[in-house]
Amino acid sequence: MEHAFKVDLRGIIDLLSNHLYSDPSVFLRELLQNSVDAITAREHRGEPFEPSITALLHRTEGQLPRLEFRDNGVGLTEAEVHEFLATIGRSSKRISEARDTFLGQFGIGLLSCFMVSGEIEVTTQSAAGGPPVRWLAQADGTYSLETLPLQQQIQPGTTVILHAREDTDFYFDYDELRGALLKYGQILPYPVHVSDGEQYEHVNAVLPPWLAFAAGDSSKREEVLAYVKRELNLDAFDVVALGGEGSKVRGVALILPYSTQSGSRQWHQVYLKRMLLGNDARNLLPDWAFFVRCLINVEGLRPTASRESFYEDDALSAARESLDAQLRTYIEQLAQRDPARLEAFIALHHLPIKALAIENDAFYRLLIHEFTFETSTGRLKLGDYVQREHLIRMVTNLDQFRQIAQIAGAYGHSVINAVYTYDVPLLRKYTGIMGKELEIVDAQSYAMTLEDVNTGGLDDFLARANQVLEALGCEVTVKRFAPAELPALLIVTEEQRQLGDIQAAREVADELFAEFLDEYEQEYQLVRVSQLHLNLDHPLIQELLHVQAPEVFSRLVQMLYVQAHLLSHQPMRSQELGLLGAGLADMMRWGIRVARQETLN
Amino acid sequence: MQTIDELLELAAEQDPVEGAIPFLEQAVRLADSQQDREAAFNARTELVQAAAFSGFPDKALIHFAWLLGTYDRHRQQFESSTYQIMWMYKWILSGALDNPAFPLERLRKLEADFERRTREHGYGSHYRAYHALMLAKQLGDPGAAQAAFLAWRDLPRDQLSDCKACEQNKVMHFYIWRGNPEAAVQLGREIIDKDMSCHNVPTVTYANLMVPLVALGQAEEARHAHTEGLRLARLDRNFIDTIAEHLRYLLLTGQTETALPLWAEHLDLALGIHNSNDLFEFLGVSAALWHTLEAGGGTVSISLPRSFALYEPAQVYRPEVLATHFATEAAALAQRFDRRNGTFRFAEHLQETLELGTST
Repeated sequence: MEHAFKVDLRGIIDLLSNHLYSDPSVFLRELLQNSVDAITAREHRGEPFEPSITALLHRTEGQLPRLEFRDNGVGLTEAEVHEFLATIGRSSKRISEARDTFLGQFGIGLLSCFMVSGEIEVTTQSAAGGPPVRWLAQADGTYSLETLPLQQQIQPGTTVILHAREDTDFYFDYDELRGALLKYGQILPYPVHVSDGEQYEHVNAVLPPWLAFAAGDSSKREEVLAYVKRELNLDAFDVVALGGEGSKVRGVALILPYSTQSGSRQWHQVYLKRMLLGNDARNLLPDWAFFVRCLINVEGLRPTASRESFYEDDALSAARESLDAQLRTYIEQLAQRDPARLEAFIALHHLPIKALAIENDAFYRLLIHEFTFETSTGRLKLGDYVQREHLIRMVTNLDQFRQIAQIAGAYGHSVINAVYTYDVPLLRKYTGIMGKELEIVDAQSYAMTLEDVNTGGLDDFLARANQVLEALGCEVTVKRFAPAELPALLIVTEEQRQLGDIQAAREVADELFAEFLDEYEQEYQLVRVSQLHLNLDHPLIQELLHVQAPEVFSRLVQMLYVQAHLLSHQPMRSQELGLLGAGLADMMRWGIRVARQETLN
Repeated sequence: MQTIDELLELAAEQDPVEGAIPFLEQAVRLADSQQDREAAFNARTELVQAAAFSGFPDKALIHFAWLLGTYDRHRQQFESSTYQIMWMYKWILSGALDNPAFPLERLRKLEADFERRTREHGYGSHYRAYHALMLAKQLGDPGAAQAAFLAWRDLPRDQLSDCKACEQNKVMHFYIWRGNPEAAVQLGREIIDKDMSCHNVPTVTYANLMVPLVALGQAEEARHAHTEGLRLARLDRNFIDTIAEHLRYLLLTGQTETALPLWAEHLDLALGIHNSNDLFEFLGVSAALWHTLEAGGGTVSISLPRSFALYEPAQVYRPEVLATHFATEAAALAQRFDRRNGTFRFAEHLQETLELGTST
C-alpha cells in the first residue's frame, strides 16, 4: 500500500545530508548504531541468541552495487514502523529529540541513508512475533509499507537494502565498507562481519589493547604503544590510562612525541557506548590538554544531534574535571617517580604545562622550578636560578635585556630574559606562591644602581661632552662600573623610543590625531633623553678627561656614543650612521698624519 | 638582530598578548628604518590590537594615528584594510574616553571623525550609538544613558557592531549600572550557558555577575562566578578592572584574607597600566582593602613589588598608611576625570568603593 509522508521528510533528509553530518560515510555509523541498539534491546528481553551484524555487498556487472545490512536484533512490528515514522515526523525540527527514543533514533538513522541511496528497503521481523514487515521508501518522500506472510522460521532481526546512486557508488566499495565498519565498530561488543561474496572479514575479531590497558591491565603498556605506532603512526612519548573502575569515561591518553601550539586541536577517537562518535574531544578534555591524543569510550554522556560531540551539561563537566585531574596526576607522579623523564616531558610540552601552572597553584608549586629560562648567565632552570640569586630579576623587553646583559654579569647578577611565551605571568606568580621577591628591571633603573663618581671636578668635562651629544637627545654621565673593559654604556629609555614612534605618526597624521599625539609628546618629553654612562674605570675614559682639542674631543665622544649604540643592539638611525662614517674618516686621517710624521722624524 | 618576520613570529606566540608588544614595537621601528611601508603597516596593525587589549591605549592611539594617516595618504595601497582600520577605530574611541587628559570637545571631534569615516562604508552607526551610551554612563547621566541605550537597541546591527557575546554583555552591564540585578543575572547566565565568547567574554561576564548575584542572595553561584572568572582573568593586564571587580566581591563578602594575596599579585600590573579608568578602579578597591585591614590593627606582612612607591624592603606595611596612600591617589584621579567631565561621578563612585572597607 502506498503512503505519502505525513510531514515533509524531504526537509529532514535535506537537513541530514547537507547540514548535520560532516561526512556522508556516517550512514554506516547510523546503520551500525541501529543494529547495536536492536541487539541490545533483544538482549534485554532475556532470550538466548548469538548476536551478529553483517554487511553484504552485492555487485553485478553493469549494475550499480547494492548493500544489504543485516542484524538479528529485536526487529520491529508494523505498529512500531508506523510509530517511528510518526516520531521523526513530530520532531522534524529537533532531531536530537527524535534520537532520545529507540524508534526515533532508528528512523533518523535510516533516513541518513538517503545521503547515498535513492531508495531504502527495510525488511524486519519483530522478536515479539507478528508477521514480518517490509518498508520501501523513496528519496522524494513517498513510501510503501506491507506485511509479508507469517513465516515461523524467520528469525527476528532487520535487513536494510540500499542501492548506490551514480554519484555515491564509491561508498559501496568493499575496502571502503570494511574500513568504515572497522573505524566505527572496532570496539563493539557484538561481532561485525563484512563480505562481498569473494572476500570476508570479521571486522572486530580482535579488540585493540588499549581497552584492557584502560581497564587496569598495566602489562599492556608496550602493546598499546606498539599498536598506536602501527595503526596511528604515532610514536607516543607515553600512554596514560584514563577512567578506571566504575568510570563513565574510560580510555587512554597518548602523550604526543612532538610539541604543539597552545590552542591547537588534536585528532582523537571518541567512542560512545563503544561506537565511534567522532574525532573531536574538545569539550571533553580540559583546554590545556593539547599535548595528548585520546582513544576513549564514554558510557553516560549525551551526544549532540549530529552525534559528533557532546552536550555541555553537568555530566560532561564532571567527566572533564575527572580527566583533568587524571592527566594532572600523571604529571605529578612523573615528577616524583622519574625526574629525567619529567624533564624530557617538559622539554616537549612546556607550553600546555606552563598554561596549566598559571591557572593552578598546586601544579605551579610542583613544577615551577623545573622550567628553564633564558638568563644573562645562560639557560637555567628556575630552581637553580633561585638558589643562586636572592632576588628574581626579569626584563620583559629584548632590547632592554641586551643593554642590561652587558653589565649585569660583572655585578654577579643574573637577569632573566622573560620574552618567551608565559615567562612573564609565570614569574609574576612567583612572589605570591613561593615567596621570593621579583624585580622587573629596566635598563634605566638598572643603570641608576651604577656607582656615581664625585663629579665636582668634572663639570667642565660634562658640559663639553653634553654639548657634543645634545642634538641626539643624549645626556652624558661619568660612573664607575664593571666590566672595566666596557668604556661606555648607552641606555635608551622606552619613552625615548615612544617619542620616536610619536614623531613617525606625527608625520602622517591628520590635524585631529595630531592633537592627541601632541598631548602624549608633552607627557613623554618629561622623561626624554637617552643616557651615555662613561666608565671611569676604563683607561680610555681617564685619558679622555684630559683631551682639550675640541675637534678631537667631540669625535671621541661621538665615537664612544656610536660604539655604545652598537653594543646595545640599537637600530642605527641615519644620525648614528653619519657619525660613524665621519668619525672613521677622521680617525683614519689622523692615523695617517701620525704615521707620516713618524716617518718624517 | 632579528628580521621583521621573526619578530612577528615571536609576538604571535605570546599569551597574554601584552608580551607581544615589545616585539611588535621592534618590528615597527625596524620596518620604519627600512622604509618598508607595507611591513610597517602590518606590524602596527598587530601592535594596535595588542596594546588595546593589554591596558596601553596610548600606544594603541599613537600607532593607530600612523595607520590612519598612512591609509589616507596611500588609499589605493591600503584599500583592502579599510574594514580592519575602521574596526580598530572602535578601540581608539573607547580608549580615548578613559583618558582624563583628553577634553570632551576633542572626544566629540573624534566621534564625529569616526562617524564621517565609517558611514562612507555604510556601517558604524550602531557602534557609534553604543559609544554614546558609554559616554553617558561615564558622565553619570541616567536620562541620557537611557535614551542612548534605547537608541542603540533601536538601530540595526551592522558589520562594525560588536559580536553578539560582547553586546549581550554590554546590555547586561547597563542593567547593572541602572540597578537591575535580576535582569543582569538573567542575561549573564545566558552568556555562560550558551557558551558565548570572544576576547573579553565570558571573562568579564563572570566578574559582572558576582555583585548582582550577591545582591540577589545567590551566594553559591557568586562564588562559582568568582572562581571561574578569576581563572580566566588572572595575571593579564587587560583585565585589571576585572580583577578590581573580584576584589570588590571578596571585600563585599568579608573575604579579606583571600583578597590580600590576589591584590598583591596584581599590584605591579595595575601600577603599570596606562588606562586611567582601569587604574582608578584598582586604586579604589586597594584603598578599601587596606582600610579593612586597618580594622585588624597592627601591621601586615606581605611581599609587594619594588615598583610600588611605598615599597619596604622588610615587607611589613602599616595598613593606615597604605589606605591613605591609595585613597589619595584614587581621589586625585577621580578629580581629573570629574574635572574633564564636569561631574562628581568619579568622586561619588570612589566614596561608594571606600565604604566597602568600612562596612565590614
